[in-house]
Amino acid sequence: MKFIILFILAVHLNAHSLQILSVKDEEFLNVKVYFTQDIVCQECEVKIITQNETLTYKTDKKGKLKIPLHLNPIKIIATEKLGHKKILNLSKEKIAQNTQIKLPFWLKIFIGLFIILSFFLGLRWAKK
Amino acid sequence: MHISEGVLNTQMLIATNLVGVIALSFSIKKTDFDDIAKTAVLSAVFFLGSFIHIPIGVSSVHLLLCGLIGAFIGISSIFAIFIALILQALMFGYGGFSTLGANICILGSACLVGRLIFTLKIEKLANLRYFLVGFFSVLSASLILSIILALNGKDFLKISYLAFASNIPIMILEGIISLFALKFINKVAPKYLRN
Repeated sequence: MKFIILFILAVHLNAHSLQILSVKDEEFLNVKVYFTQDIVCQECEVKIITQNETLTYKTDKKGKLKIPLHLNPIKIIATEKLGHKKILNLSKEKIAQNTQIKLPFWLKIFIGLFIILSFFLGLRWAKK
Repeated sequence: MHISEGVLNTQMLIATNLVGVIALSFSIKKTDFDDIAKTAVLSAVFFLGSFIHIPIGVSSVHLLLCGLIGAFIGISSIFAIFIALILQALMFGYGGFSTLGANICILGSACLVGRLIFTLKIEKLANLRYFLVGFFSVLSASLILSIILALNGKDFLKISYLAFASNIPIMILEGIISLFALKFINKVAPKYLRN
């Protein structure tokens, strides 16, 4: 058991869910689609929903895409080849914000582990 | 390997959640609560294992460790995986709540296949058996994932092939991990593998 735990902790840990980061500049909405900071979603299909139409783009090798602001995008849907999907509804507050929960990744991992172990311990205690 | 929110149609969601609920109920009923610590640790192992990412081309795949989990706790692994899946969906947006049933079907089957291979009475070929625990567990998970995607509609047929093909390296990798992990545990603490 110790072996498995040590093995896992020794390997680099990464999140897997698809994420969208959108940052506005003067002319463009700069979109980045990624799994983690190191693993971006290359050539992913990105649908831009505007009030009148739906436009389809692809991200570049860096997982990035520029959308002209005059299109007034209201929703971004990114789909990765294996079916991972992320929808980002754009509002004035959401643009320029990272969509991930603010907690650091390692902290979320520890909180998750703590909850799992507490849950099962609680269950054992309840059964007794 | 997890199916994300918004991928499956309503019929598939109902069917997979129904199977998931039945499998989970059976698993909870069969769980030995005196030995719950093992289930807790393996739930944590699964929770962590899914974050070990291996980039393949423009995409990436992750470890499952379901074969190992199944070899340790058998049917209780579905309960262990369920708790980890809820937290992954809640904290990382990984998988999803509506697709919990589908993900239980995919990963639970992998654990049960791992357990089945582990309990085969082939003492002379122990190393091969340990390798196959990991290999076949990922193979079965990939097959179930592909079947669910293929049944979800014609649009998902190509994705189902791609999903299966992209998991082939993971089958081999998990086989090797299972081989070394089970060999080591069988040597130093075989009692953990008996139940």
